[in-house]
Amino acid sequence: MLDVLSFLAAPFAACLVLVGILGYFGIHVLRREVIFVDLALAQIVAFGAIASFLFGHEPGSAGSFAFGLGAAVLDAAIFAWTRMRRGRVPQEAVIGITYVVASAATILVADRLPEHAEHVKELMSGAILWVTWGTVLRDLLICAAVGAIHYALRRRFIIISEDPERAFEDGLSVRWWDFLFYLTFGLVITVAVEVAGVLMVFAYLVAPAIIAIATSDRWPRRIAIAWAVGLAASALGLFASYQWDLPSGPAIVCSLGALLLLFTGLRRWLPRVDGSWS
Amino acid sequence: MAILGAETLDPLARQGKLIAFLESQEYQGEKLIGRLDGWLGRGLAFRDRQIVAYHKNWIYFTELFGLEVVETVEPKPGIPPSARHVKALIDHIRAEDIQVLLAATYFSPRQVEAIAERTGCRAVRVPLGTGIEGADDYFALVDLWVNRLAEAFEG
Repeated sequence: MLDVLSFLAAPFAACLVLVGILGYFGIHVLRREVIFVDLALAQIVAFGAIASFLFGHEPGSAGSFAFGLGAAVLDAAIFAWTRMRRGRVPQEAVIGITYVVASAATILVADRLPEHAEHVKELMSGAILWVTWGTVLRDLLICAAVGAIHYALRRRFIIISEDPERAFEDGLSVRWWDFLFYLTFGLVITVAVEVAGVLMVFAYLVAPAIIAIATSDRWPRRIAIAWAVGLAASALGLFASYQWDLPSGPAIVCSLGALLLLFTGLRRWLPRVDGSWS
Repeated sequence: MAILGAETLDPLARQGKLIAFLESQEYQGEKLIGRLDGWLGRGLAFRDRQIVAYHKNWIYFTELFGLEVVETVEPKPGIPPSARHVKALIDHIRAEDIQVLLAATYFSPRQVEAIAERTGCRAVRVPLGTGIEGADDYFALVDLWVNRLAEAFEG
Protein backbone atom coordinates (compact mmCIF):
# COMPACT_ATOMS: atom_id res chain seq x y z
CA MET A 1 0.00 0.00 0.00
CA LEU A 2 2.82 2.36 0.90
CA ASP A 3 4.47 1.88 -2.49
CA VAL A 4 1.14 2.62 -4.25
CA LEU A 5 0.84 5.89 -2.31
CA SER A 6 4.44 6.71 -3.09
CA PHE A 7 3.80 6.02 -6.80
CA LEU A 8 0.73 8.28 -6.83
CA ALA A 9 2.27 11.03 -4.66
CA ALA A 10 3.67 13.20 -7.50
CA PRO A 11 0.49 13.01 -9.66
CA PHE A 12 -1.65 13.82 -6.61
CA ALA A 13 0.60 16.75 -5.66
CA ALA A 14 0.33 18.04 -9.26
CA CYS A 15 -3.46 17.75 -9.00
CA LEU A 16 -3.43 19.78 -5.77
CA VAL A 17 -1.38 22.56 -7.38
CA LEU A 18 -3.83 22.69 -10.29
CA VAL A 19 -6.86 22.58 -8.00
CA GLY A 20 -5.39 25.44 -5.97
CA ILE A 21 -5.15 27.84 -8.88
CA LEU A 22 -7.84 26.55 -11.28
CA GLY A 23 -10.45 26.38 -8.50
CA TYR A 24 -9.92 30.12 -8.02
CA PHE A 25 -9.85 31.05 -11.71
CA GLY A 26 -12.96 28.93 -12.37
CA ILE A 27 -15.03 31.19 -10.12
CA HIS A 28 -13.92 34.24 -12.10
CA VAL A 29 -14.68 32.53 -15.39
CA LEU A 30 -18.18 31.54 -14.29
CA ARG A 31 -18.97 34.97 -12.86
CA ARG A 32 -17.75 36.63 -16.07
CA GLU A 33 -19.95 34.21 -18.03
CA VAL A 34 -17.12 33.37 -20.39
CA ILE A 35 -17.25 29.64 -19.65
CA PHE A 36 -15.50 28.53 -22.79
CA VAL A 37 -12.64 30.99 -22.46
CA ASP A 38 -10.64 28.34 -20.63
CA LEU A 39 -11.27 25.76 -23.34
CA ALA A 40 -10.25 28.31 -26.00
CA LEU A 41 -7.12 29.30 -24.05
CA ALA A 42 -6.23 25.66 -23.38
CA GLN A 43 -6.67 24.80 -27.05
CA ILE A 44 -4.57 27.75 -28.22
CA VAL A 45 -1.81 26.74 -25.77
CA ALA A 46 -2.02 23.21 -27.20
CA PHE A 47 -1.73 24.72 -30.69
CA GLY A 48 1.37 26.68 -29.62
CA ALA A 49 2.97 23.55 -28.17
CA ILE A 50 2.26 21.51 -31.33
CA ALA A 51 3.52 24.36 -33.54
CA SER A 52 6.82 24.33 -31.61
CA PHE A 53 7.46 20.79 -32.91
CA LEU A 54 7.71 22.28 -36.42
CA PHE A 55 10.80 24.12 -35.17
CA GLY A 56 12.37 21.02 -33.70
CA HIS A 57 11.32 21.39 -30.06
CA GLU A 58 10.50 18.23 -28.12
CA PRO A 59 7.25 17.78 -26.17
CA GLY A 60 7.65 19.03 -22.60
CA SER A 61 10.76 21.08 -23.49
CA ALA A 62 11.37 24.74 -22.63
CA GLY A 63 10.88 25.63 -26.31
CA SER A 64 7.49 23.94 -26.42
CA PHE A 65 6.50 25.72 -23.19
CA ALA A 66 7.60 29.09 -24.61
CA PHE A 67 5.52 28.58 -27.78
CA GLY A 68 2.48 27.63 -25.71
CA LEU A 69 2.95 30.69 -23.51
CA GLY A 70 3.43 32.95 -26.54
CA ALA A 71 0.14 31.71 -27.99
CA ALA A 72 -1.55 32.33 -24.63
CA VAL A 73 -0.27 35.93 -24.43
CA LEU A 74 -1.56 36.62 -27.94
CA ASP A 75 -4.90 35.14 -26.98
CA ALA A 76 -5.01 37.20 -23.77
CA ALA A 77 -4.62 40.35 -25.88
CA ILE A 78 -7.44 39.22 -28.21
CA PHE A 79 -9.84 38.48 -25.33
CA ALA A 80 -9.04 41.77 -23.56
CA TRP A 81 -9.37 43.79 -26.77
CA THR A 82 -12.68 42.21 -27.83
CA ARG A 83 -14.40 42.92 -24.51
CA MET A 84 -16.93 45.68 -25.20
CA ARG A 85 -18.97 47.55 -22.60
CA ARG A 86 -22.04 47.48 -24.80
CA GLY A 87 -20.99 45.38 -27.73
CA ARG A 88 -23.44 43.98 -30.26
CA VAL A 89 -21.43 40.80 -30.67
CA PRO A 90 -21.23 38.71 -27.49
CA GLN A 91 -17.68 37.93 -26.43
CA GLU A 92 -18.63 34.26 -26.25
CA ALA A 93 -18.71 34.31 -30.07
CA VAL A 94 -15.06 35.44 -30.21
CA ILE A 95 -14.15 32.80 -27.63
CA GLY A 96 -15.99 30.06 -29.53
CA ILE A 97 -14.40 30.89 -32.87
CA THR A 98 -10.95 31.09 -31.21
CA TYR A 99 -11.43 27.57 -29.88
CA VAL A 100 -12.58 26.17 -33.22
CA VAL A 101 -9.84 27.87 -35.25
CA ALA A 102 -7.16 26.79 -32.73
CA SER A 103 -8.42 23.20 -32.92
CA ALA A 104 -8.42 23.23 -36.73
CA ALA A 105 -4.97 24.87 -36.84
CA THR A 106 -3.64 22.17 -34.48
CA ILE A 107 -4.79 19.50 -36.93
CA LEU A 108 -3.22 21.40 -39.86
CA VAL A 109 0.12 21.64 -38.02
CA ALA A 110 -0.03 17.98 -36.96
CA ASP A 111 -0.57 17.09 -40.62
CA ARG A 112 2.75 18.75 -41.49
CA LEU A 113 4.70 16.88 -38.83
CA PRO A 114 6.26 13.54 -39.74
CA GLU A 115 5.66 12.43 -36.16
CA HIS A 116 4.01 13.92 -33.08
CA ALA A 117 0.36 13.45 -34.14
CA GLU A 118 0.24 11.35 -30.96
CA HIS A 119 0.89 14.52 -28.95
CA VAL A 120 -2.40 16.02 -30.11
CA LYS A 121 -4.06 13.19 -28.20
CA GLU A 122 -1.77 13.70 -25.21
CA LEU A 123 -2.57 17.41 -25.06
CA MET A 124 -6.24 16.48 -24.81
CA SER A 125 -6.08 13.71 -22.22
CA GLY A 126 -2.96 14.86 -20.38
CA ALA A 127 -0.12 12.96 -18.79
CA ILE A 128 -0.78 13.42 -15.09
CA LEU A 129 0.63 9.99 -14.19
CA TRP A 130 3.99 10.86 -15.70
CA VAL A 131 4.56 14.12 -13.88
CA THR A 132 7.89 14.43 -12.05
CA TRP A 133 8.58 16.23 -8.76
CA GLY A 134 10.62 18.81 -10.68
CA THR A 135 7.56 19.73 -12.76
CA VAL A 136 5.34 19.81 -9.66
CA LEU A 137 7.73 22.27 -8.01
CA ARG A 138 7.97 24.45 -11.12
CA ASP A 139 4.18 24.57 -11.46
CA LEU A 140 3.78 25.29 -7.75
CA LEU A 141 6.11 28.30 -7.99
CA ILE A 142 4.39 29.68 -11.10
CA CYS A 143 0.88 29.17 -9.67
CA ALA A 144 1.90 30.65 -6.31
CA ALA A 145 3.28 33.73 -8.05
CA VAL A 146 0.06 34.16 -10.06
CA GLY A 147 -1.96 33.58 -6.88
CA ALA A 148 0.05 36.27 -5.07
CA ILE A 149 -0.58 38.79 -7.89
CA HIS A 150 -4.30 38.05 -7.80
CA TYR A 151 -4.43 38.29 -4.02
CA ALA A 152 -2.72 41.67 -4.11
CA LEU A 153 -5.08 42.98 -6.81
CA ARG A 154 -8.15 41.00 -5.74
CA ARG A 155 -10.56 43.93 -5.36
CA ARG A 156 -10.15 45.05 -8.96
CA PHE A 157 -10.29 41.55 -10.44
CA ILE A 158 -13.35 40.65 -8.36
CA ILE A 159 -15.29 43.81 -9.16
CA ILE A 160 -14.67 43.35 -12.90
CA SER A 161 -15.85 39.73 -12.69
CA GLU A 162 -18.86 40.41 -10.46
CA ASP A 163 -20.05 43.81 -11.64
CA PRO A 164 -18.28 45.06 -14.78
CA GLU A 165 -20.72 47.96 -15.17
CA ARG A 166 -19.65 49.30 -11.76
CA ALA A 167 -16.01 48.82 -12.72
CA PHE A 168 -16.54 50.96 -15.84
CA GLU A 169 -18.39 53.60 -13.80
CA ASP A 170 -15.59 53.66 -11.24
CA GLY A 171 -13.21 54.55 -14.05
CA LEU A 172 -11.24 51.33 -14.00
CA SER A 173 -9.35 50.57 -17.20
CA VAL A 174 -11.23 47.32 -17.66
CA ARG A 175 -9.44 46.42 -20.88
CA TRP A 176 -6.00 46.60 -19.27
CA TRP A 177 -7.17 44.74 -16.17
CA ASP A 178 -8.69 42.13 -18.44
CA PHE A 179 -5.39 41.84 -20.28
CA LEU A 180 -3.56 41.23 -16.98
CA PHE A 181 -6.26 38.75 -15.96
CA TYR A 182 -6.04 36.75 -19.19
CA LEU A 183 -2.24 37.01 -19.22
CA THR A 184 -1.95 35.40 -15.77
CA PHE A 185 -4.73 32.97 -16.64
CA GLY A 186 -2.90 32.04 -19.85
CA LEU A 187 0.29 31.37 -17.88
CA VAL A 188 -1.62 29.06 -15.54
CA ILE A 189 -3.34 27.32 -18.45
CA THR A 190 0.03 26.79 -20.17
CA VAL A 191 1.47 24.86 -17.22
CA ALA A 192 -1.83 23.09 -16.54
CA VAL A 193 -2.40 21.84 -20.10
CA GLU A 194 1.13 20.46 -20.27
CA VAL A 195 0.49 18.32 -17.20
CA ALA A 196 -3.23 17.63 -17.24
CA GLY A 197 -4.48 18.12 -20.81
CA VAL A 198 -7.33 20.24 -22.16
CA LEU A 199 -10.21 18.10 -20.82
CA MET A 200 -8.99 17.90 -17.24
CA VAL A 201 -8.13 21.61 -17.10
CA PHE A 202 -11.64 22.51 -18.25
CA ALA A 203 -13.21 20.15 -15.71
CA TYR A 204 -11.03 21.48 -12.85
CA LEU A 205 -12.05 25.04 -13.73
CA VAL A 206 -15.76 24.57 -14.16
CA ALA A 207 -17.07 21.75 -11.91
CA PRO A 208 -15.70 22.98 -8.54
CA ALA A 209 -16.66 26.58 -9.41
CA ILE A 210 -20.29 25.63 -10.13
CA ILE A 211 -20.62 24.00 -6.71
CA ALA A 212 -18.78 26.88 -5.02
CA ILE A 213 -20.92 29.62 -6.59
CA ALA A 214 -24.15 27.71 -5.95
CA THR A 215 -23.19 27.34 -2.29
CA SER A 216 -21.89 30.76 -1.31
CA ASP A 217 -21.60 34.39 -2.41
CA ARG A 218 -18.44 35.02 -0.44
CA TRP A 219 -15.21 34.63 -2.35
CA PRO A 220 -13.07 33.08 0.42
CA ARG A 221 -15.78 30.46 1.03
CA ARG A 222 -16.22 29.83 -2.67
CA ILE A 223 -12.50 29.28 -3.07
CA ALA A 224 -12.42 26.92 -0.07
CA ILE A 225 -15.39 24.93 -1.45
CA ALA A 226 -13.81 24.74 -4.94
CA TRP A 227 -10.58 23.50 -3.37
CA ALA A 228 -12.42 20.86 -1.33
CA VAL A 229 -14.33 19.61 -4.39
CA GLY A 230 -11.16 19.53 -6.53
CA LEU A 231 -9.21 17.73 -3.83
CA ALA A 232 -11.94 15.11 -3.33
CA ALA A 233 -12.30 14.51 -7.09
CA SER A 234 -8.51 14.18 -7.53
CA ALA A 235 -8.24 11.63 -4.72
CA LEU A 236 -11.31 9.75 -5.99
CA GLY A 237 -10.11 9.77 -9.61
CA LEU A 238 -6.60 8.56 -8.82
CA PHE A 239 -7.99 5.92 -6.48
CA ALA A 240 -10.43 4.72 -9.19
CA SER A 241 -7.63 4.73 -11.76
CA TYR A 242 -5.61 2.40 -9.57
CA GLN A 243 -8.42 0.31 -8.15
CA TRP A 244 -10.36 -0.33 -11.36
CA ASP A 245 -7.56 -0.04 -13.91
CA LEU A 246 -8.83 3.15 -15.58
CA PRO A 247 -6.94 5.93 -17.42
CA SER A 248 -6.15 8.56 -14.77
CA GLY A 249 -7.04 11.85 -16.48
CA PRO A 250 -10.49 10.73 -17.68
CA ALA A 251 -11.10 9.10 -14.26
CA ILE A 252 -10.49 12.46 -12.53
CA VAL A 253 -12.71 14.31 -15.04
CA CYS A 254 -15.53 11.80 -14.45
CA SER A 255 -15.05 12.07 -10.67
CA LEU A 256 -15.57 15.84 -10.97
CA GLY A 257 -18.69 15.17 -13.03
CA ALA A 258 -19.93 12.64 -10.46
CA LEU A 259 -19.42 15.09 -7.57
CA LEU A 260 -21.28 17.77 -9.51
CA LEU A 261 -24.15 15.36 -10.17
CA LEU A 262 -24.21 14.34 -6.52
CA PHE A 263 -24.25 17.99 -5.47
CA THR A 264 -27.14 18.72 -7.84
CA GLY A 265 -29.10 15.80 -6.39
CA LEU A 266 -28.44 16.77 -2.77
CA ARG A 267 -28.57 20.52 -3.26
CA ARG A 268 -31.94 21.11 -1.60
CA TRP A 269 -30.64 19.56 1.62
CA LEU A 270 -27.29 21.36 1.59
CA PRO A 271 -26.86 24.72 3.38
CA ARG A 272 -26.25 27.87 1.39
CA VAL A 273 -24.33 30.60 3.11
CA ASP A 274 -25.17 34.01 1.70
CA GLY A 275 -23.14 37.10 2.23
CA SER A 276 -21.23 39.84 0.52
CA TRP A 277 -18.95 38.76 -2.34
CA SER A 278 -16.42 41.51 -1.65
CA MET B 1 25.30 -15.65 -47.18
CA ALA B 2 28.36 -16.46 -49.28
CA ILE B 3 28.60 -19.95 -47.80
CA LEU B 4 24.96 -21.08 -47.78
CA GLY B 5 23.09 -18.65 -50.06
CA ALA B 6 19.89 -16.74 -49.49
CA GLU B 7 17.69 -19.63 -50.68
CA THR B 8 18.82 -21.65 -47.65
CA LEU B 9 19.03 -18.89 -45.06
CA ASP B 10 15.79 -17.05 -45.86
CA PRO B 11 13.33 -19.93 -45.15
CA LEU B 12 15.22 -20.78 -41.96
CA ALA B 13 15.01 -17.16 -40.79
CA ARG B 14 11.29 -17.00 -41.58
CA GLN B 15 10.66 -20.17 -39.59
CA GLY B 16 12.69 -18.83 -36.65
CA LYS B 17 15.19 -21.68 -36.99
CA LEU B 18 18.17 -19.82 -38.45
CA ILE B 19 20.09 -19.16 -35.26
CA ALA B 20 19.66 -22.73 -33.93
CA PHE B 21 20.77 -24.05 -37.34
CA LEU B 22 23.90 -21.85 -37.42
CA GLU B 23 24.76 -22.82 -33.86
CA SER B 24 24.48 -26.53 -34.71
CA GLN B 25 26.52 -26.46 -37.93
CA GLU B 26 30.27 -26.05 -38.42
CA TYR B 27 32.33 -24.82 -41.35
CA GLN B 28 36.12 -25.17 -41.50
CA GLY B 29 36.18 -26.19 -37.83
CA GLU B 30 34.24 -23.17 -36.64
CA LYS B 31 30.56 -22.83 -35.74
CA LEU B 32 28.64 -21.07 -38.47
CA ILE B 33 27.08 -18.66 -35.97
CA GLY B 34 30.51 -17.01 -35.70
CA ARG B 35 30.25 -16.09 -39.36
CA LEU B 36 26.83 -14.49 -39.09
CA ASP B 37 27.16 -10.88 -40.18
CA GLY B 38 24.87 -7.98 -41.06
CA TRP B 39 21.73 -7.07 -39.09
CA LEU B 40 21.19 -10.54 -37.64
CA GLY B 41 24.86 -10.75 -36.65
CA ARG B 42 24.73 -7.37 -34.90
CA GLY B 43 21.39 -8.44 -33.41
CA LEU B 44 23.03 -11.31 -31.52
CA ALA B 45 23.80 -8.65 -28.88
CA PHE B 46 20.11 -8.65 -27.94
CA ARG B 47 18.83 -12.05 -29.12
CA ASP B 48 16.72 -13.87 -26.48
CA ARG B 49 16.69 -10.76 -24.28
CA GLN B 50 13.56 -9.29 -22.72
CA ILE B 51 12.38 -5.74 -23.38
CA VAL B 52 9.41 -3.53 -22.62
CA ALA B 53 7.87 -1.76 -25.63
CA TYR B 54 5.79 1.41 -25.49
CA HIS B 55 3.24 -0.07 -27.82
CA LYS B 56 2.72 -3.21 -29.96
CA ASN B 57 4.68 -1.71 -32.85
CA TRP B 58 7.49 -4.18 -33.22
CA ILE B 59 6.02 -7.67 -33.75
CA TYR B 60 7.82 -8.60 -37.01
CA PHE B 61 11.09 -7.09 -35.90
CA THR B 62 11.11 -8.72 -32.48
CA GLU B 63 10.14 -12.12 -33.91
CA LEU B 64 12.95 -12.07 -36.46
CA PHE B 65 15.55 -10.85 -33.98
CA GLY B 66 14.43 -13.08 -31.11
CA LEU B 67 13.50 -10.28 -28.72
CA GLU B 68 10.81 -10.96 -26.16
CA VAL B 69 8.43 -8.07 -25.48
CA VAL B 70 7.27 -8.88 -21.95
CA GLU B 71 5.06 -5.82 -21.39
CA THR B 72 3.80 -2.68 -23.11
CA VAL B 73 3.38 0.81 -21.62
CA GLU B 74 0.17 1.49 -23.53
CA PRO B 75 -1.69 -1.81 -23.94
CA LYS B 76 -4.71 -0.32 -25.73
CA PRO B 77 -4.02 1.92 -28.74
CA GLY B 78 -5.02 5.51 -28.13
CA ILE B 79 -6.10 4.95 -24.51
CA PRO B 80 -3.76 6.29 -21.82
CA PRO B 81 -2.64 3.58 -19.39
CA SER B 82 -4.16 3.31 -15.92
CA ALA B 83 -2.30 4.02 -12.68
CA ARG B 84 -2.51 0.31 -11.82
CA HIS B 85 -0.95 -0.70 -15.15
CA VAL B 86 1.93 1.78 -14.89
CA LYS B 87 2.65 0.77 -11.29
CA ALA B 88 2.62 -2.95 -12.25
CA LEU B 89 4.85 -2.20 -15.25
CA ILE B 90 7.42 -0.38 -13.13
CA ASP B 91 7.39 -3.19 -10.55
CA HIS B 92 7.82 -5.77 -13.34
CA ILE B 93 10.78 -3.95 -14.92
CA ARG B 94 12.49 -3.73 -11.54
CA ALA B 95 11.75 -7.32 -10.48
CA GLU B 96 12.87 -8.87 -13.78
CA ASP B 97 15.75 -6.41 -14.24
CA ILE B 98 14.60 -5.55 -17.76
CA GLN B 99 17.21 -3.33 -19.28
CA VAL B 100 15.61 -1.72 -22.30
CA LEU B 101 12.40 0.15 -23.07
CA LEU B 102 11.83 0.43 -26.82
CA ALA B 103 9.57 3.23 -28.06
CA ALA B 104 8.77 4.86 -31.38
CA THR B 105 9.76 8.52 -31.41
CA TYR B 106 6.22 9.66 -32.18
CA PHE B 107 5.26 8.81 -28.61
CA SER B 108 6.01 11.46 -26.02
CA PRO B 109 9.55 11.27 -24.62
CA ARG B 110 8.12 12.28 -21.25
CA GLN B 111 6.47 8.92 -20.55
CA VAL B 112 9.41 6.93 -21.83
CA GLU B 113 11.94 8.94 -19.82
CA ALA B 114 9.77 8.85 -16.71
CA ILE B 115 9.80 5.04 -16.74
CA ALA B 116 13.53 4.91 -17.48
CA GLU B 117 14.17 7.32 -14.61
CA ARG B 118 12.07 5.34 -12.14
CA THR B 119 13.39 1.90 -13.07
CA GLY B 120 16.95 2.48 -14.28
CA CYS B 121 16.28 0.78 -17.64
CA ARG B 122 17.57 2.39 -20.82
CA ALA B 123 15.13 4.14 -23.13
CA VAL B 124 15.67 3.45 -26.84
CA ARG B 125 13.61 5.88 -28.88
CA VAL B 126 13.78 5.28 -32.62
CA PRO B 127 11.58 6.29 -35.55
CA LEU B 128 9.06 3.69 -36.64
CA GLY B 129 9.11 4.72 -40.29
CA THR B 130 11.35 6.37 -42.84
CA GLY B 131 11.41 10.07 -43.66
CA ILE B 132 12.91 11.09 -40.33
CA GLU B 133 16.47 12.40 -40.09
CA GLY B 134 18.85 9.45 -39.77
CA ALA B 135 16.35 7.05 -41.34
CA ASP B 136 16.09 8.25 -44.92
CA ASP B 137 15.35 4.80 -46.32
CA TYR B 138 14.34 1.43 -44.96
CA PHE B 139 17.92 0.12 -44.77
CA ALA B 140 19.02 3.13 -42.72
CA LEU B 141 15.97 2.67 -40.51
CA VAL B 142 16.74 -0.97 -39.69
CA ASP B 143 20.43 -0.04 -39.21
CA LEU B 144 19.24 2.48 -36.64
CA TRP B 145 16.97 0.01 -34.80
CA VAL B 146 19.60 -2.72 -34.67
CA ASN B 147 22.51 -0.48 -33.69
CA ARG B 148 20.61 1.47 -31.03
CA LEU B 149 19.29 -1.72 -29.43
CA ALA B 150 22.70 -3.42 -29.54
CA GLU B 151 24.34 -0.33 -27.97
CA ALA B 152 21.71 -0.26 -25.24
CA PHE B 153 22.29 -3.91 -24.31
CA GLU B 154 26.07 -3.57 -24.54
CA GLY B 155 25.79 -0.76 -21.99
